[in-house]
Amino acid sequence: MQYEISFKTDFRCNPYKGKFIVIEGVDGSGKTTQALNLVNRLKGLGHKVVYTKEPTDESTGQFIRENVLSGKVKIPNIAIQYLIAADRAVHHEKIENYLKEGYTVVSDRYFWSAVAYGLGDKGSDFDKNGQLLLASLSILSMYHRFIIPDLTFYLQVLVDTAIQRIQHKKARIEIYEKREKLDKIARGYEWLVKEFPKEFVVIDGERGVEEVGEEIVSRLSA
Amino acid sequence: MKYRIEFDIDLLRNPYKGLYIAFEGIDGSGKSTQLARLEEYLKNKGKEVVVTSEPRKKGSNVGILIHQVLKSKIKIPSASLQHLYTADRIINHKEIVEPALKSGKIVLSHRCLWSNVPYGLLDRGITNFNSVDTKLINITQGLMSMYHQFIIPDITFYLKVSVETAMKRISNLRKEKEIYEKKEKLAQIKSAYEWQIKQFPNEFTVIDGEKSEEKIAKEIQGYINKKLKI
Repeated sequence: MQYEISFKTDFRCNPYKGKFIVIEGVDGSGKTTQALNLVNRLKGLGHKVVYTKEPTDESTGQFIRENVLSGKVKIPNIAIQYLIAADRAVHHEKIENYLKEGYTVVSDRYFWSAVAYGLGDKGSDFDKNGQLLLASLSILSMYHRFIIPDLTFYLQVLVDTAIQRIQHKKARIEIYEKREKLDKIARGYEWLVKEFPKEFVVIDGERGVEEVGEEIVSRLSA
Repeated sequence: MKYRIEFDIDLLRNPYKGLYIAFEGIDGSGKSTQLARLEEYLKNKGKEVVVTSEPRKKGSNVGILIHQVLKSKIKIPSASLQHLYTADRIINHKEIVEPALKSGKIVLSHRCLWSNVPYGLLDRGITNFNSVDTKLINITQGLMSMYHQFIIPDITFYLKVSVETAMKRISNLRKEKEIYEKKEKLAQIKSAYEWQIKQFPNEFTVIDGEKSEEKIAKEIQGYINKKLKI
């Protein structure tokens, strides 16, 4: 027996007075540095600002760090996506509370990451898999009533640059596996940016920390 | 951004030679007792049986995390808990259910993905079963999904009991109550189960769980014998 499923869905705009800013990009693109910089800049200007990230520091995020990212336990990719979704639901509740209170929220990753990383897992047919993931995600977003960010900065860097930066931070790293994966994730992001040009501001992340930071601030006030 | 989402989908049947049997029902309906009875019965017949539960009680860190939430040791939003269930179910299917079915064993599962809707609706505080939320729960949690789907059991026994009976059994059984084990919650879950059975009448074998343990066990054995042709 076949079951027919149909409904309408759309993303939810931020209804609160607090602004919701997201910084996305591959590992090593400079997200954390820029997010923290931005938070400090905005604080200096007298704004109420918070920094958040995914995975979170809550029990679900800790679980992901300890069990998944550490590579300690082998978990199927789809299960990982669901663990991340579980953590994102926790994250979203936190973000929404801050926005309600009028805070500007700067988030180091958000649900765009799920598409880019999901594509990284699924392989090369981006149009087919991308639509599939987006449909799944928009279903998820409807399920959660996720708020779409007011502005998402995508820090665009070469995979080589990203690897160089990661190497500085972490002593031992499996570069070959990492390079291939990063490359796929980067292409996942590029696909997303093309699909949703209005949602993303692309920033050239190859430049120095200061320069990138300046551009983010100037784009924000524009 | 507006999307219209539309697709037709079949339930994913067990393609393997093993038999997949699940027990569903509210807490206190007798699932664990009857599962143990059937396990013993089948083992005595020389069958290879694998027992599992959703959420997993051991061997899965996600399962352990879920049980902490159920015991109110950790507080997370309900949607988050639903995703943890799904993650745990994916691991359970990959590590236990599918390998056992592939090698021709009989899987007995304490709960399965049919728990999605009753508990998902409760967690979201939804009492209108015909709302789009019911579909969404089924899609996001993998009963019907373009992204991934779970194999549904060959036989799902639904142990139907009154809330009063269930409450009586729970208070005799457990010192530490879990978050779902309250009277009004049980009543809500029960009506969601029964709504779901009406939607998927061919997927459930409804058993009158008010009868004695012995009578229920015999009835279940009867269904299994017919299925296994023994």
